[in-house]
Amino acid sequence: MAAIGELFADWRRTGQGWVRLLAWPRSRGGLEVPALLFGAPGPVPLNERPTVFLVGGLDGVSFAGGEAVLRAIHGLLLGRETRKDLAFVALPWAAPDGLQRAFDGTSWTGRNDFECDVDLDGRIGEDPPDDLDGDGRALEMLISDPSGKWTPSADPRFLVPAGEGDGPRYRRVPEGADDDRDGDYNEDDARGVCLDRNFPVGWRSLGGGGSLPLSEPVARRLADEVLARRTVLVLVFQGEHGLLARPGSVSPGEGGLDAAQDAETFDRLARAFALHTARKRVDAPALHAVHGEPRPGSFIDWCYGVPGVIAVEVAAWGPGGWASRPPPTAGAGTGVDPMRTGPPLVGVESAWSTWLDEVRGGVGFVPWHQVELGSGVRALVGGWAPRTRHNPPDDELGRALTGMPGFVGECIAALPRLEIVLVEVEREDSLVRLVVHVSNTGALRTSLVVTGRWAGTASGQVHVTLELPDGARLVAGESAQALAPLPGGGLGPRMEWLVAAPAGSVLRVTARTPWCVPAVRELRP
Amino acid sequence: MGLGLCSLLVGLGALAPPGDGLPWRPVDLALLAGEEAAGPGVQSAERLAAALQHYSQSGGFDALQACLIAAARHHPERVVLHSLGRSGEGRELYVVELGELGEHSRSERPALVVVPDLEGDARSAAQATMAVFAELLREADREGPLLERVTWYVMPAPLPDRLDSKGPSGSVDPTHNFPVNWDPWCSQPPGPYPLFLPETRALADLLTRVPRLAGAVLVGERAVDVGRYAVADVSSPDLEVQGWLSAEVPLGAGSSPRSGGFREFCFAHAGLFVLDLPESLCRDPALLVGHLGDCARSLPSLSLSPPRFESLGGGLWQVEFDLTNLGLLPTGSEAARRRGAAGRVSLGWEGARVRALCVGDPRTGSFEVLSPGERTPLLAALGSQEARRLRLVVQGESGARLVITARSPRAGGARLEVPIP
Repeated sequence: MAAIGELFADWRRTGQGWVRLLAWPRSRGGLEVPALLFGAPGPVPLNERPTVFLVGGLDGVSFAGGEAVLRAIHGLLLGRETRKDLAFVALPWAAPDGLQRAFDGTSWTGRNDFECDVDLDGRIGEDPPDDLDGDGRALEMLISDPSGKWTPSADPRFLVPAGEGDGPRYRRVPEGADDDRDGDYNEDDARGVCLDRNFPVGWRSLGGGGSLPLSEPVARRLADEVLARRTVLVLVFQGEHGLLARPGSVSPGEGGLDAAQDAETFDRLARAFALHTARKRVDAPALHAVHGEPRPGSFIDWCYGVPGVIAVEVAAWGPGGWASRPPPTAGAGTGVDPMRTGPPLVGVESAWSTWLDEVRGGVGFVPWHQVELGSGVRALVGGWAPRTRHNPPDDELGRALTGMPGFVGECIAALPRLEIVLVEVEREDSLVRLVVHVSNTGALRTSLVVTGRWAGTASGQVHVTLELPDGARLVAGESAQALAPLPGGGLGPRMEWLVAAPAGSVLRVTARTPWCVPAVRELRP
Repeated sequence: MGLGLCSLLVGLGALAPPGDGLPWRPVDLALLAGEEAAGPGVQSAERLAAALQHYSQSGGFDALQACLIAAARHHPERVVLHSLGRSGEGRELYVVELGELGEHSRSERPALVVVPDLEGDARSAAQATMAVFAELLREADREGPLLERVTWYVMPAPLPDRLDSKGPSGSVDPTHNFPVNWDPWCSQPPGPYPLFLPETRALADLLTRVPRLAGAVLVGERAVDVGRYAVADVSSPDLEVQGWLSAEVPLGAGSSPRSGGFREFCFAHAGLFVLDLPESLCRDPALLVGHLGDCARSLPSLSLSPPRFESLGGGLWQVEFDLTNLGLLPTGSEAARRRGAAGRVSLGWEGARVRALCVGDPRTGSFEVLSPGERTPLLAALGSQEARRLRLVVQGESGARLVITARSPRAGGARLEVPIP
């Protein structure tokens, strides 16, 4: 955290006024939220430019996402080709309370320090996780329960949802005693809200969503900042899936947001991600799909669904970034018991198991071992160690972040850019005939399909105006026109004007759309 | 108001400033520009009457503000003016607190909020709500029961900018800007996020941060049927109670929840039961005071029955008594429980050592043992007029006075003091 502050101060010193610190509310735990506004020197002030947000670790867990943002900032500040028409807002350490605990290896809930009655029993913090086995950390605990939802898989280190007839069955809870003796274990640690579940689209209070959407000042400020700027792209670096995910924190079948209409835009970014980081997957699955569970109230769902911004979650770490390997075979050193007949591990869990054994030699997973809970009750404690699953081990961090600056650079290069293409201009006496097209030279559309109606207006149209000097008169054509959004590399319809103007008059054609700086063409026909 | 009671209340006020215990500081009347501060008396009564008269003619925000300030100056011991912030155009968002306002008194009684339903005409709804306010002021003058039983929070102009403008203002529709069922694609502009407007945020603050609020009286052009409250995740016990409150409204109108609606927020998020007050009723003082009395009587209210002592030998006594919610509304709602306002009842005792607390099961007649070591055990919320039989095992000297207290945020408290035989 202090290192980020020093880095920011250094960048600011050398930024010649084009790198500024943004004031941000402190976290509930009183920690600073470092925020930076920067851009390449250019004619348009930073506050008026289309803006890209780079956010790290909003989930309060993925501090590796913060590292990715820092590398991206560094790349952009060094890059001579950085576009002069864009501004950047960067928050590498967006949820400091949770990130600090994840960094220290003490908790992986991602929640902030807002004290709340998690189990709604009228008391606060009466049953937090504890270190029962004295190893200096609180991991996971399995409570034997005939109606439990989990059972060991064929690889007994890992659990899978129990089907009919499967056993033994367990409840999964954080490690710790039942401090309040209510029969539930560690259900009230008094903390708090997960910032990436505190946004309004699909929001739910349960699971760390908070008492109200945007109840957390840091999250609210983020929303207000996105609204206050001409925000075009939001990249949130977090997660352990290793992919680029599009909005959709809840499946459409359960009432969630469906971003499929804009799949072309998101897949374009996924291809850039695959190209720069040597991944194979070239499409952008929805958030709920990559996490394997709903993540209601996410920041990117709100960015996409309400202000209509291209927003994706980018996970530097996780199986999506690994070359495929064969599934583990049974035998010594693999953790797979050939005598056991539990359900097989599949999908992502299987990939994690393979990585643990073949890359880490089984180191990084604390085997399940018995602990005494008092009154003769016992439980199993164990699970993933810090810096294994939620964040890469230190010696893999560099590899996980390889290609991130290049990916960010390509995203930025792909953003829409307007240009006025002159087709014809001719003067006959005082009569001028002018024909132009507006083109989008970027690879992405000038707007998304899905946008909330928060202000009751449709956005994304391209507005074209023809300004005439004193003494000139429009004979034919519309002085102001609204065009439909332009696709990447697309050309708008032909526009023709007939103007009566004295010789030497300057005619000005301007095209505007929220995501681009205006394109202006002045003519002296 | 009699001089004796007035002095007593002023004295209590000095011990516990009226604004304490609430999230907002009271408006400092001495700092307000204009008329000089005046204590209760003939002059302030005249000013209040004149202000009310002027408001009834103009209906504007300045006249309404003058009424609220005059009332707070005239009844400093029973009326406190708070500001929850400012509107989009900078007008104060006033809420008036009326009741027995010592901090101890506050915690002993439940509270009701009276606010216009946002969906109607703001000026006429504010006029009707001010009629309620005026009736409560008369109640303060005559020391009537309405203020003794309940603390009232009246917010006559939650959208104050609309009192001075002819048409709807702003690009966000406040009636779609609350978090319950908020829909960013709603055809009426719902705002970029719930509670985007300072006005809706202030209302949400008021409804969720005053723990003693048990109900919301919505003043509107018309009441609505229970269909409006059938929000997806709301529980059926809450709907049952709300259905009873909405029973006078003819069903079949096909009401369904409004996306981001204020009424839905009151019920499904704040966990408040909604008591409708039609504007037409506010024009008849006799009907109005009767209706407000009905509202007050419906609120949860705790009572402890005289206990029965039975010796267990060796200085131990079994003490059995009933804890009853005399009100028609339960001490809590399921929706409130979900956001942590559980409506549970806390018990306390003094004068004897309690060895065990047992709760009776009405179906079997048997008793279940609660944790004996806890000083203030929490009992589950009590339903409408529900009684729960409790049994204490106490150890105390004969003649010692046993004090038992029960308290629930939305039902106030009850206290019992009896000698051990």
